[in-house]
Amino acid sequence: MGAADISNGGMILAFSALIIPFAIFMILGIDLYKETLISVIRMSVQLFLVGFYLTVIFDYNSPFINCGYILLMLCAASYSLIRNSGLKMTMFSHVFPALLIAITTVLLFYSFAVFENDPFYDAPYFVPVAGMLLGNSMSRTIVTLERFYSSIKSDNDGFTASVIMGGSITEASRPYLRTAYKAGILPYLAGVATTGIVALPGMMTGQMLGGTVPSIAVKYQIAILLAILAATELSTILTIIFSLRKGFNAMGFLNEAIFKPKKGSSK
Amino acid sequence: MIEAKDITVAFGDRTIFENLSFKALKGEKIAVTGKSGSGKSTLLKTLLGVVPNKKGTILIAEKELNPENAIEIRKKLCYIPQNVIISNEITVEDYIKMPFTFRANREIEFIRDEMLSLFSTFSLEKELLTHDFSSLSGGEKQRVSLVRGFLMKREIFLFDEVTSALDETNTVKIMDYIFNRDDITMLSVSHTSIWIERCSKKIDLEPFRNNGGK
Repeated sequence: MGAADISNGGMILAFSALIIPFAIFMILGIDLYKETLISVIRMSVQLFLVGFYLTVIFDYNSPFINCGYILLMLCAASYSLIRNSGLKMTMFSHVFPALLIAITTVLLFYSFAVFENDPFYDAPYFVPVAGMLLGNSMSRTIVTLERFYSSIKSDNDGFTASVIMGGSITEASRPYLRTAYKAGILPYLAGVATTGIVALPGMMTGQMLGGTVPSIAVKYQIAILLAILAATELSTILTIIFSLRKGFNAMGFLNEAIFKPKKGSSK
Repeated sequence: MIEAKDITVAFGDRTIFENLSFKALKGEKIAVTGKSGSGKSTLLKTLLGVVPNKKGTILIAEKELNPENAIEIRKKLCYIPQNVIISNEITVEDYIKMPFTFRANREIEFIRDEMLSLFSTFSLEKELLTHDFSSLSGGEKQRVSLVRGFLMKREIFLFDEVTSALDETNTVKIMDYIFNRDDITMLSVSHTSIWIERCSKKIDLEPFRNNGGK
């Protein structure tokens, strides 16, 4: 059923991939050896750790452990999302519930109704799918959230004039939301449209390597891509809606205190 | 229409102006003067509620400026910043119509002919209506924003250098329109001398500046 193991020798040979960038660094005289080595080591250690604790989680397959692990992922995702949006951590209490609602709604629906998992919290499905939903939602939400607040900030006088003209926060910010949302969804749609031609999605490839027949792997992939679509849209819009209370003051103006002071190290 | 009682504004421990009091009666046209950096734009933003005042009270149309009264106050208010920057794609006509879509303005009717007549009063070409707002020159943006404010039937106008990007002919046209309307109360920050001279009252911020905190 599972894929054949990779031998230790095979794993060592896999790392021979590093020879190529190192050769290029040497020819071009770029000193990025240390950085490359560190990121590859980090990736490997992190994945071995994931392998270790996923084994534990799969063995126990307890609803509490599985849900607890997902909550932990949600915390890490909220933290990273805010950090990369150029906002302060005070947004956490607004971003976390938005992600929590978006991800769990989609996850539960797909687990119960589409994949018909029994039990619904079955770790080999529940945990990785949650991770995929969260990972994909995060990058889109970052684009939209960052763009939404930074564009209002740079148009602040024009936005203020709209608020003074009687616009509520939602009315005055709607044009900015529209632009920010489009900036996020257009590249995403382009990516989805080329799936299967340009790129074979990782999950499907993994399943086939693991011995699943392509026709089943394709069905899972389609369902997952649609689940990602639902989770992404829901997280994006809920994060913006939930953030409004913190992002604007009682008078309806932009709360500039939400922005992280610029140091040139964000993103 | 506007009353400031003993207002003090500070950013952190830097006082911009203190104990400033003045009144703007209905129909009055006021110029705020003072050296650059004296807090003229800050005063406008304080009257709008954007910049909070540390001390004192502000009454707009007999109502105290606070979040509870904001909706009512804003039905009378129009603010035109020095640079009207709208980065989103929006045609000039949609820009003008936008506030009419706000719930708070439901009872105000958009009258196209009135818009066209204001366009000709302010020497704006009708063709501009289909242009993208961000493609307009600074002066055109200011005049289009004025048209929007007048169409919204606002009574109190706060202008921040509203003629800064205009030539003299257009400045005079706008002045003739505004200064001849007794129903409009106006408070403006301006460096245009003909504009300042025509204002019925001047507020000099210099005496209210805090000398200690430069």
